[in-house]
Amino acid sequence: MRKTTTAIFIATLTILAATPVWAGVWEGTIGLGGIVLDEVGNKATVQETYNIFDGFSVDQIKFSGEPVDGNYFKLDLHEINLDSRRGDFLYRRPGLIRLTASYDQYRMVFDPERAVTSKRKDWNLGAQVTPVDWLRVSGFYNNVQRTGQRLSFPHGTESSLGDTYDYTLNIGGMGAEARRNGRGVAVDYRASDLADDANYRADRTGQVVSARLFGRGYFYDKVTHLLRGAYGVHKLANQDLDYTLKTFQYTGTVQPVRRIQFKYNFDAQSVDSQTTGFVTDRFINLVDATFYHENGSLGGGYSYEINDDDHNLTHYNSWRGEATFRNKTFGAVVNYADRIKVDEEERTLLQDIEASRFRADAEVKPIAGLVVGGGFNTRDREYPDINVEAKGDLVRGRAGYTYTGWGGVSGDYSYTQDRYTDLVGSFNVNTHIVTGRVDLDRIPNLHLSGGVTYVRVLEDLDVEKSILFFEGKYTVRNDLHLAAKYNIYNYDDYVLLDRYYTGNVVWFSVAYDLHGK
Amino acid sequence: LEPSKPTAASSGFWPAAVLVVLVLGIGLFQHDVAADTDAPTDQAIRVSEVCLDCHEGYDTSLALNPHHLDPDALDGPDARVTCTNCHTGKPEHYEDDPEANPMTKPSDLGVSEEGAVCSQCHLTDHQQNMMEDNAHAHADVNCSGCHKIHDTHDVGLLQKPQYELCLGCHSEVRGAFAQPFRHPVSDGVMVCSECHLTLDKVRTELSKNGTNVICAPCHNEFVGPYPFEHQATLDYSAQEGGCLSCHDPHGSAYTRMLKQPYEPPNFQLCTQCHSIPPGHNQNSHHGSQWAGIACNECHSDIHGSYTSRKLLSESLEAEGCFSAGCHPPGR
Repeated sequence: MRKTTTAIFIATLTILAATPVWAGVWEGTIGLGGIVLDEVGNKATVQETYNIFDGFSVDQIKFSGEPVDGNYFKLDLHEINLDSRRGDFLYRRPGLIRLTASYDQYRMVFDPERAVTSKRKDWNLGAQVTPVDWLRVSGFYNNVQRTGQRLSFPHGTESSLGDTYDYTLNIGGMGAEARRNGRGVAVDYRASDLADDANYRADRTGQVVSARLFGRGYFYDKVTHLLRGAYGVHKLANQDLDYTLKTFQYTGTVQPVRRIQFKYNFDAQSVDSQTTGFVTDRFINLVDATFYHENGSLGGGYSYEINDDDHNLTHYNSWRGEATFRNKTFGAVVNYADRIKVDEEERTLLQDIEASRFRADAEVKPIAGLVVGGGFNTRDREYPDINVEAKGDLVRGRAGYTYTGWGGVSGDYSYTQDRYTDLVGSFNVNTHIVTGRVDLDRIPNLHLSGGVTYVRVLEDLDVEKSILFFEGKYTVRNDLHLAAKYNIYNYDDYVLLDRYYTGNVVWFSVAYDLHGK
Repeated sequence: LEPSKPTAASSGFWPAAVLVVLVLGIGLFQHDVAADTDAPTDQAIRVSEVCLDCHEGYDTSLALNPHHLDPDALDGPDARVTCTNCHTGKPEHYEDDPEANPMTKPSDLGVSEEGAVCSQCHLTDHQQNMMEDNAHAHADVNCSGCHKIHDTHDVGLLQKPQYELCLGCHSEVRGAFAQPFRHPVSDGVMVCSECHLTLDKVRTELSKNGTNVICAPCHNEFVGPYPFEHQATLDYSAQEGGCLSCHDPHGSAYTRMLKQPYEPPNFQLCTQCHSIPPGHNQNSHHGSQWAGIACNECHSDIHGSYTSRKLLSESLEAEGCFSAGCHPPGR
């Protein structure tokens, strides 16, 4: 941890030291501050507080600009405190190269006293080069390290996951795409490696190669084609067990006139698993038609799917339809989809399945700055042969008003009703969630804001959670800013009485802007 | 289980697929249908310099972003991007009456029209995924619904930071991220596209369901292969399955983001698929609801096991019920 903190500061100082010799234009911000944390109760209940540490923090170290003519870079390090930090880097020479890097470090809490925690460090690197108009080469690398302890679930049970984290996951890949006159070919390779020092049996590797072949672009021509395929092997390293996955997709579109599009999609995959002993083949045929009008669209589709693993044969019929409308003051979306599975031989555990969902949403902008919207969702998943059903309804509304020069106010309410009928019993919950926010910019150099998130879960559960925040930012001079924020977290479970928590957190920071030329 | 006879589809599919690829591949590059007359052509007018005479400062709004106008090659053959690559219209716009002959503003176009503009240059997995089964295309959300071209430098050229952008429309998900147990998206630790746009990357050899591939980069320790798999975790299984069989990825009121509670007094999660097997429910100390013992106190390797076909804990599998701790020998 100290090494990482030191490295960040050395990198920052290096950048600061180097800035005078840059030929270009740059700007930056350095923010330093502190956190005061006062809390009581079960410290595992409110996830938002897991990475808040009492004491000094580096709020932000940010630089961006044009060090050399025609190049852009951005370095943004933020929320650097005792044991968590984040950073992003971007370098771009438009039309030629883009380099990205990011780092995230944070912890997960498992017990009421925050004594059992795990730490996660996540590096991401990416590069994209376009040496000539028709060729793009890219690569990426992702390194994830996780260390620390965990609690088994339910508490006290023994599992092969153990009670310790100590693994490193590396994922990397590279690809190339060549394109000319809207037609092209692309290939990608990707590999992953999981090395678990706490459980060597979990070591895994994966390799995937994929290719893509396309003719003319989406909506660009009257007839377009896209072919995609991939082959991958995932292996349990120490037991020489693997599964292979092959996919092939074809999509063709016909657009006789600009407003009408017909689409056909064929999707095939095969998974050969040494552990289950099954070769599972899945084939999907999908047809789809969409009519685009000036103010929206009207569309629908049907797909037929076969799933066959030589022991079970199932097929699915799926229908979909939607309509959209929008103009400058009103927008609406309505869609419906269903999917019916038929278990031909009645050998699967769940047998037939009938699933459907419906969604309707509308939004109105009656006057400048005002947005009012709302919607309704319902989804149903039924297993008629075993008398199991999961059903959920959601109603929501939102409104926001922004008045230039003053600020804005916004709010959002949702109510969900979830009903589960299982093989043994039933389980029902109703959830009310309210979020709201007020921003005030009326006073020169001062930005004030405040907000609330309130969650109430009722019926078979009885949980109440709220987060209140108040925030102020004051610009003392053009290049000097003061900021303070106060959050109040509250959590109460009225069934599991040891799950309660109240936290008061104050952040404060001083930020100084830098400019160079 | 009795093996059924192989279907014709499964036995000869892959050789046929290769043949289809070859035939279509050859045809693809020979095919040359004339572009729709309404579609944007390759822009006979490349007049960025003329545009900037009136639309002063718009080159600055593109500076150092991927659509920047090269001041040394504003028009001409070396120009990679010009104003009229995106904004189309007639020469009368600048030769005669601009208001009577307006140029297009891509963000005001529908998904089809703006798609045609952007796909002149952008044909990656992300755009091509729009051809397949994309919810945004179905809902008529055009490219500019998420991206902006002017006045931005950030990766992805998004209208807003992802969390605000996505939840601006998907407001119901904002509530899910306020739930007690959730992915840390509202905290800024994760972004929506870490899960959702993974479907763009065909290099991850997606199954049609694809959820396990999406979860694997962060939760690799749970993803197979295992010597003994729990079919509920396999999204390619004919039995149906995948991580979402048990977990609600946005947020849940239950620990581990489970879809149903797995704590006293309700051990509901397993009973969405499994009844209490005979032998369990005739023993008052086992079972589900009334015994107060969760299924995975014994079947603890629920994501998959290295030793037990029944996903039992290793000591239970090796030593049996009377030596593994719950039942001392002799009782």
